[in-house]
Amino acid sequence: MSTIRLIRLFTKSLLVSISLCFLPGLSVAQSEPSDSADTGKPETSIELMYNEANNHSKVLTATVKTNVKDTYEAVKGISVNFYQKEVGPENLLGTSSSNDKGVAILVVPEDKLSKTSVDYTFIAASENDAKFEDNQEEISVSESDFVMTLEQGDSSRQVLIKLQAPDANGTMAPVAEVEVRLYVQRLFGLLALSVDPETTDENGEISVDFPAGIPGDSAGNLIIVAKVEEHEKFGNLEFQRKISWGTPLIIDPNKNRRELWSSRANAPLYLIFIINTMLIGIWGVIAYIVYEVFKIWKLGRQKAS
Amino acid sequence: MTATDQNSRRNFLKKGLGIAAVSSAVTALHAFQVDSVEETGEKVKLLSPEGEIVEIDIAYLKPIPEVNISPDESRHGIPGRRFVMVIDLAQCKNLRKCHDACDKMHHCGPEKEFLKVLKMQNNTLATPFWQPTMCFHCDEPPCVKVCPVDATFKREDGIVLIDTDRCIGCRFCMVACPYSARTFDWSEPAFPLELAHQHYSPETSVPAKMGTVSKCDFCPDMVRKGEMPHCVTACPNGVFYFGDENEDAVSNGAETVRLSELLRDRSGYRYMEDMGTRPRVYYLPPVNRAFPFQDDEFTKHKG
Amino acid sequence: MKTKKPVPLPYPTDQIEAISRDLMPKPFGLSGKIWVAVLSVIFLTGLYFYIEQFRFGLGITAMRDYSTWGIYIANFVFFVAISLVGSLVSAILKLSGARLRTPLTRISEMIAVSSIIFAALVIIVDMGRPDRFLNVIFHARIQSPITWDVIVISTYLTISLLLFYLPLIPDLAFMRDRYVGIPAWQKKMYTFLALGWNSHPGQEKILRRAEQILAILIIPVAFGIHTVTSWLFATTLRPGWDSNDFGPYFVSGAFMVGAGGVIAAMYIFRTHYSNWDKYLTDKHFEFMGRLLVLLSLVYLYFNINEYFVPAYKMKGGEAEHLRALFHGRYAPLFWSVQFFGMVLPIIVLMFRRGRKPLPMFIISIFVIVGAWFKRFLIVVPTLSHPYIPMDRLPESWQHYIPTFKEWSITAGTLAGALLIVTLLARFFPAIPIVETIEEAKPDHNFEEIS
Ligand code: SF4
Ligand code: SF4
Repeated sequence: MSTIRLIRLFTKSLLVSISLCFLPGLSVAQSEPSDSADTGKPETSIELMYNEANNHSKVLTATVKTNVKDTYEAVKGISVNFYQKEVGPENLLGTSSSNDKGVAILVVPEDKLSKTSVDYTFIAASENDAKFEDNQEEISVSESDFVMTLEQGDSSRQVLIKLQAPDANGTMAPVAEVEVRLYVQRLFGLLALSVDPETTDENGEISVDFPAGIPGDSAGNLIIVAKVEEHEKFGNLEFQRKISWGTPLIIDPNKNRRELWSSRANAPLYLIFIINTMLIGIWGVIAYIVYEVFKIWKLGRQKAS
Repeated sequence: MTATDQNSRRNFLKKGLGIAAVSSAVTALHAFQVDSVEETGEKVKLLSPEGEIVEIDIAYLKPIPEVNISPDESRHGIPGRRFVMVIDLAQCKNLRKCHDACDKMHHCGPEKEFLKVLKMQNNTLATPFWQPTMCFHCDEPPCVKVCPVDATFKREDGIVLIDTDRCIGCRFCMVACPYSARTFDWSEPAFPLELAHQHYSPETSVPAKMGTVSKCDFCPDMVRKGEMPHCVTACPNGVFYFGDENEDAVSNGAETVRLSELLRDRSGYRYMEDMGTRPRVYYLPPVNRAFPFQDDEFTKHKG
Repeated sequence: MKTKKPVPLPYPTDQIEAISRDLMPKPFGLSGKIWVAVLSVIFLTGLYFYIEQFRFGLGITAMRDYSTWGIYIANFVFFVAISLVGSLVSAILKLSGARLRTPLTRISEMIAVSSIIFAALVIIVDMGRPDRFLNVIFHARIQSPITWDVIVISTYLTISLLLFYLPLIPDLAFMRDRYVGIPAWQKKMYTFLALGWNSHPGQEKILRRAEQILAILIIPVAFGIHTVTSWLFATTLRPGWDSNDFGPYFVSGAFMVGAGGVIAAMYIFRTHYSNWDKYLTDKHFEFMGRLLVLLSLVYLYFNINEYFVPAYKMKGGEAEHLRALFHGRYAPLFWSVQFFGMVLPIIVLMFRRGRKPLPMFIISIFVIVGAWFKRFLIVVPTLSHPYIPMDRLPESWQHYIPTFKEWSITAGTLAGALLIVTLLARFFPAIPIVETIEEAKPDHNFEEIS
């Protein structure tokens, strides 16, 4: 039983996480179906995204779709090869096959990544598939250092962002004029903290006061997410962190309230009392009458014997 | 002063100790799962329920068999949540994609509708508008009050469900609901054969059973997976917002907004508030409409 | 257990002979056999269609998602209503010391018992899942008016059975001792049921006391049963049902139709059995006629409250509902029921000549039929006027017209109830024999009975 519960918890967390990490519009590049050699197989379109999270893992996601009766449908189970620089076996980073939504995910293995340059080129290619025409898609991104820190003062709560990237000499330098959005993670999406994005200053920094009154979980925890979205040079950068800056959720202590609409176990006490009193009263009298009838029968026997 | 140093954190994760930071649930799971899953060595970064970033072998991402929610569990609901819906009437042009998606997922058959798109008119001079209606998952549900056998119940997450394994088909709840949200399987419902053998849970409302009541269930099976109800995701115009009142946020797929601000700024209201049922579905009035009204009223009932 | 010595009766034996000859239950004559045959056919047809409904679901009825309750529920309310007669005659009249009630008590208890049994059956007929009936007990939710109804109906049935049975004991003993020429099993049944009754003073004392207690006990339960039944409607938010005086409105209507039922039964018994006009005299009809006028006036009063007050306000959904009743789709039925089922009886019964047996019998049929359709008018139109617009729906969903099978099942239950009354009267005296003999005693003091 508890195993099942745990598996479920796990499934849920995984699915929540997948949707949160990879879904919201991170597209960087999209290939049109190639119009090369016609083998009669249907063509696909590949959308390749680069996503870096918490300054740590580089993740490539390729979404493969195909045109069916004028709508794009996900291609499930197609295998996608991810390369760096150019297509070739020596440049293969890994292979992944697409899920139900047509998404193939690859966490770029750091050891295979050639660090000769600060710019990377990634290619997602579907090759020699039995059902679909070959297709590939390529994106270029630059190395970056995107960090969010959370600082709590006596009366202030600040979100600090710093974005740096290697300059011509390869030393880290701040990057200005990059739009960063701040969010709070909610169950079904990211809640933007402001209507307009913030922009990094000449120090590559942003400092924002975290607003009060945003609900967190029962401990007040919430997840703050900073994002650089679809940047032409850096791709998608994301930094998220959990902190107890939310208003703690007070779970209704009367959740088992005795109401007319509650379950039978939580029926209002007055109702239980009234109905049982009436039941006992009336059925007590009925039982008494039945007993009296029994006495009639007994009296009848006495006389007869 | 609690400042988190990003570098130490980064190193911490890089050293591969990430697993140690995983929530207890996931750690425990590893203990159970280690020998049943063959690790591929390929890792993926994920967010644990506690908000920790963890690296997990991709093997764990393979479809995990659907876990059946027991009837008992489906009576309690998802802890800490209070689901709520907001419907933007200004955006609805009666495309009925919501209706079709709902019908399809719940195998409603030719005569049953959980979700209706009704033509409403406040008075003869006002332009009519389209109003999607479904079960409002009332906080003072008159339908639940009257059920003699606890077959319909209100959960802690606000959702009102029906256990068709318990329902005796008295239909008292149907007459008690002032919104006519409930439907009844008057005859043996027709559905695909594989569905007939599917494990029944009040959370999925399928397979339906003859002689019992059913209605919109807010798709708790989807919500458990972290996905929104079918009507919400099906609507191309973003009419439906769905979310957790405890988080004060609702999302229509494209955007996530604060529930309190949305209702405050756009004068959100509840249908027939004076009934005292306190619905969990709010409407945004059909003002500044995106589309002119076009009368193409629809009914699936053949009669 | 058998007593050799007959119960001693200190009156002129020829009178006893005459009374017992008149009142002892008799085998069916030709008309009786036809009557039973016709009722059985109707009942079995209903049963046949019910089996079909059991297998294929309520889809064989015209009920659909909007008109989700139909004539089954109307019929249920009707049965509950008519069953109230038991408490009216055997309790209220008894406690008020009405002299003429003796020959009426048994008849009314027979009607009460059979109709309450069928009320319970009809509610099962209306269930979508009759196979899960026991959920009502094992998963009972005390907040639901249906649970209250189940409790109060079973209580009322028990008390009604006792009220039928206890006063019957002396008669059973009487028949055990004096009924000759009956099959052995019938004799055995009387012997068994008579509980060795031998007019022992102790027995008489116990019996009188028990009857007295039951007569008091049944009054609140009777009010309860019909009030709770009215709450099945009044606790909802529907126009036409969302009313505060539904309880008394239903109870008064129930007493009225109950009185009508007794009058009809009285007339049939009186004309069917020879010499029964000596026991069910014009005086009894006169008495019941006055009672019915009184009850009808009370019901009229509640009707005015029920329809006039909301009609004065004409509020939202209520207005739509009332318009359908007053001059819409249901107007012909509504006005006929109000006129023939309530106003006309009041007018006719106001006159002395109207309170003669035959006119009263006709009037009582009007009252009963009117009462049945009144229940229809209470249940059905409301559900045709939900708050959400339903004009997009096809005609058959907007308006509920019961199917033949549905009518047939309903007719079957009505026939079944009549069949029970008939069979009870076949084996048990419909007029208490011993009590009648006792009252025939010249120095009998009526006051002492009550
Ligand atoms: S909308 Fe109707 S069915 Fe849904 S909770 Fe409210 S009263 Fe019950
Ligand atoms: S029809 Fe079913 S869910 Fe509705 S009140 Fe009756 S038993 Fe409860």
